[in-house]
Amino acid sequence: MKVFKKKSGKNTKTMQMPEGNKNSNTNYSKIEAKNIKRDTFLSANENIDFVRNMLGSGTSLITGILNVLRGKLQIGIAYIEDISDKQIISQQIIKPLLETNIMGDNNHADVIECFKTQTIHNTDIKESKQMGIIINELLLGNTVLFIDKNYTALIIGSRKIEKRAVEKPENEVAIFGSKEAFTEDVEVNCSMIIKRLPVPELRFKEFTAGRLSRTKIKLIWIDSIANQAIIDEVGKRIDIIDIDVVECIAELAEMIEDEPSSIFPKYRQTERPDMAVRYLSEGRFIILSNNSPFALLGPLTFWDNFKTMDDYLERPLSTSFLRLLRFFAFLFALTICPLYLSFVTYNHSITPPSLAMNIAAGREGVPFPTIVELLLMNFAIDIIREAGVRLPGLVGYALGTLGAVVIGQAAVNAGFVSASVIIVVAGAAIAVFAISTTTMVNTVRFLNYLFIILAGLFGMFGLICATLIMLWRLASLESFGVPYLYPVVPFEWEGLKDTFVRVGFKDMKKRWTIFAPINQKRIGDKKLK
Amino acid sequence: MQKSSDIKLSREQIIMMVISSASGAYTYNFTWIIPEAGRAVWIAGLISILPIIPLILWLSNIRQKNPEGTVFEFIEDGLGKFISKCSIIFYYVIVMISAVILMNLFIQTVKIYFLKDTPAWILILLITIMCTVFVGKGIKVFGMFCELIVIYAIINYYAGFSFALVKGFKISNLIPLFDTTLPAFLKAVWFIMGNLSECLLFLMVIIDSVPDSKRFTVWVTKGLILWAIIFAASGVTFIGILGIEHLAGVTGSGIEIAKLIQVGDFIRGLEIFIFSVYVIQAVAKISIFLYSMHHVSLKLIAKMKIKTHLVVGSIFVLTASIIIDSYTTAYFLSTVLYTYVLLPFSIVLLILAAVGVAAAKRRKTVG
Repeated sequence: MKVFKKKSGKNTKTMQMPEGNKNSNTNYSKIEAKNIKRDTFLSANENIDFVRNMLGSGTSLITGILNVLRGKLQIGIAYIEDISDKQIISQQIIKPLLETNIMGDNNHADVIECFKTQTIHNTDIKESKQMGIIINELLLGNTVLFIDKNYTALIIGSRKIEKRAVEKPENEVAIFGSKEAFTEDVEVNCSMIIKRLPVPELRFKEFTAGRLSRTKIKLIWIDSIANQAIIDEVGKRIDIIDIDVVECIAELAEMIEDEPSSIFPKYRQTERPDMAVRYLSEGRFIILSNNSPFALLGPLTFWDNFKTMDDYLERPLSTSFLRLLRFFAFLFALTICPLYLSFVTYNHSITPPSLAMNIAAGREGVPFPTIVELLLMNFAIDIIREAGVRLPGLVGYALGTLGAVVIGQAAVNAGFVSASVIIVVAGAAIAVFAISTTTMVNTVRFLNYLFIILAGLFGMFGLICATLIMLWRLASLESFGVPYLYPVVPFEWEGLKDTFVRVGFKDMKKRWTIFAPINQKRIGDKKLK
Repeated sequence: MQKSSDIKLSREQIIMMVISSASGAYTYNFTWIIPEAGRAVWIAGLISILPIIPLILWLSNIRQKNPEGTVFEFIEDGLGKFISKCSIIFYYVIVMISAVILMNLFIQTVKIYFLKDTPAWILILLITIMCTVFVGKGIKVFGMFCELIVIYAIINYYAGFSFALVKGFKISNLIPLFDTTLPAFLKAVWFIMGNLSECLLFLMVIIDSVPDSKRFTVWVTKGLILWAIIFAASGVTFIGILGIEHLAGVTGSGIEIAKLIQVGDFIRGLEIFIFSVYVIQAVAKISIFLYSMHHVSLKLIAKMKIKTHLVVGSIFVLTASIIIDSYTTAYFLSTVLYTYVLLPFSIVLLILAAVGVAAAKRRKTVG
């Protein structure tokens, strides 16, 4: 092992370095770049050697020495070929350096300034004397210039990121909405937001999360509308994240949300920029993260889970009808199985005699009690659904058909389950997909089991108790400090205009107080004279 | 957990909690006063809030003079620890007995109508656990929960009975409106005031979570008026459908009436939906009792954790409810409590608090 000694600075620090290129590209991953406390060397060659030793050969690191100013000055250059834009490096950095003949008054600081302002054709230039920062920048795809007899290194933006084009949203289809979806690149996503909200009040706060992944995260809000207390709170929560890898927005969300153990979603993920902009205009915030094609929207209320982008693009009456339909589907999916169970086992009086006779006839010969039938069928439906999601398109469809039609029919014919149970479970399984957010779908699936068990134990009394437990849980939750049931509890009349139904835009004059406490005016007073 | 004085309840939360706290064992034992009040039982309900409003104003006035703390802190400040602790112990026992009575009346109704074979202790345990959890996150969360369930209960109750109004309601059952003597009528009003005293006892504990005295009075009065309207409307519906003679002989009259409703072949068995209102009412009220108990016991033993106080209170209620396990005993105890104990005890507490505040003020002036 070589021991490099820091020669400049007040404190002499030592750091053990892996020898040469022997350990190939795994060397640098063992040492977190930000922990390298060493300063740069005076000699360009020494600096290049150090970088080579740190990053090894497997990273496609390119280094070299350029003789510029007709051989009067040596400049070391380093970049990682796979993640840097060669066009930028050759045209904006190397070519101008080799062609330049400017030389100040031999003052080294002057040389740096000349290169920055006159020679290099790039505006994204930073200076650093810290090897840790330099290594980090190299790993981000930037190019580093070490000027001989100068401690200051220049870091020039030359990042090349493979990114896919902006495509249609796949998971949140809107009939009348925009056909753009977020991509994995945070800058592209930001551009989509700015395109829709070209106002100076739009604020971006950048964070880096993940000790290893160093994922770029952006918190976005509209300064003149958003509740500053909520924004500050979110900023603080992101700031204290200390985890090795943040791969996608959901990981980040779990780290910053209130009560992550709760089964109810307290943030929303969207791939639609128009949905994100709608939230921003209401005074809420969004968070974008590199590598994630989703934006995190917050704060979220329970009722937001039943809204879609099309709600704001269709006529108020049809929107209101569809929204009520989604609420009904939620209640149906949650209660139809336990209601059926209560009616056939405990509370027979509510079932009309003709229907009761049919159910009883269907159950003849079925060996299991109704609760076991319901739990087994729900379990089977969930397995089929989960398998269908993980399989590629057509195979998934085939599996769904095979599971639902063939196995279901066979189970009834064989007398394992009654036909009425199949109808009830299938009805609940279909209704759950009318809810507009996927996370809420999973919540209903989970709650369904709890409701069935309590209804199985106590009939209607158990179902009522389960409903009360759920309502209490909803009342006790908060999303980034906002009560989860707002604007119903705590009550705000203005909020009801866009909760169960949506009134016309002309009547939605104010934003919700809790999201936009200082700027609630949504619609102006202009009238046609 | 936040200090209770730091938590400020909203208008809707206060109103809904007042409605919840005013609807107690009275749902089951109001048949006790039907022989006294006759067809005027719903008028007695409307009138009974009138003498309670001055008591609310009195409480509000005491609170205005001393904005920090509950009634027991006012007593302690002026009259010393001994009287304060004695009043806390009496309060704790009376509220616990009220909780046990309601628990038994409710659970036995569940057993009579729906779960005949289920042991009572299982149902008592389930309700106790639920109520303990519901107040475990503090009064603010419980207030929001009340907002939600009381509105649901009211809608559910009247939506269910709207079917009965179409078919079974007879105006002739209501006439004559006043078929009793004045002393008997006043006896019924006194009994209902006993029920409303439970609300007063609860307000004495949450008074430090109310934004200010003026709003407190307005909101509580609104809550009481709403309760009186709901009560009177139920009374009119019950008498109109069942008739006063039949009503005097049944317990769980709402469920009985709902059982009679049948419109066509498919609208039937609505007692199951009306029953959900009984569950909500019982759960909300027992939670309120548990909250009141653990909130005052904190002042007795300050060293114990707040959650421990709550669990201990719940265990007391659970054990006593299982031991009693009788509708008749609970019914008897509730009539005694409503007639002789609750209202006088509330007035005594108010007198002590007023004297306490005055004594503390005089001491400060002299000092």
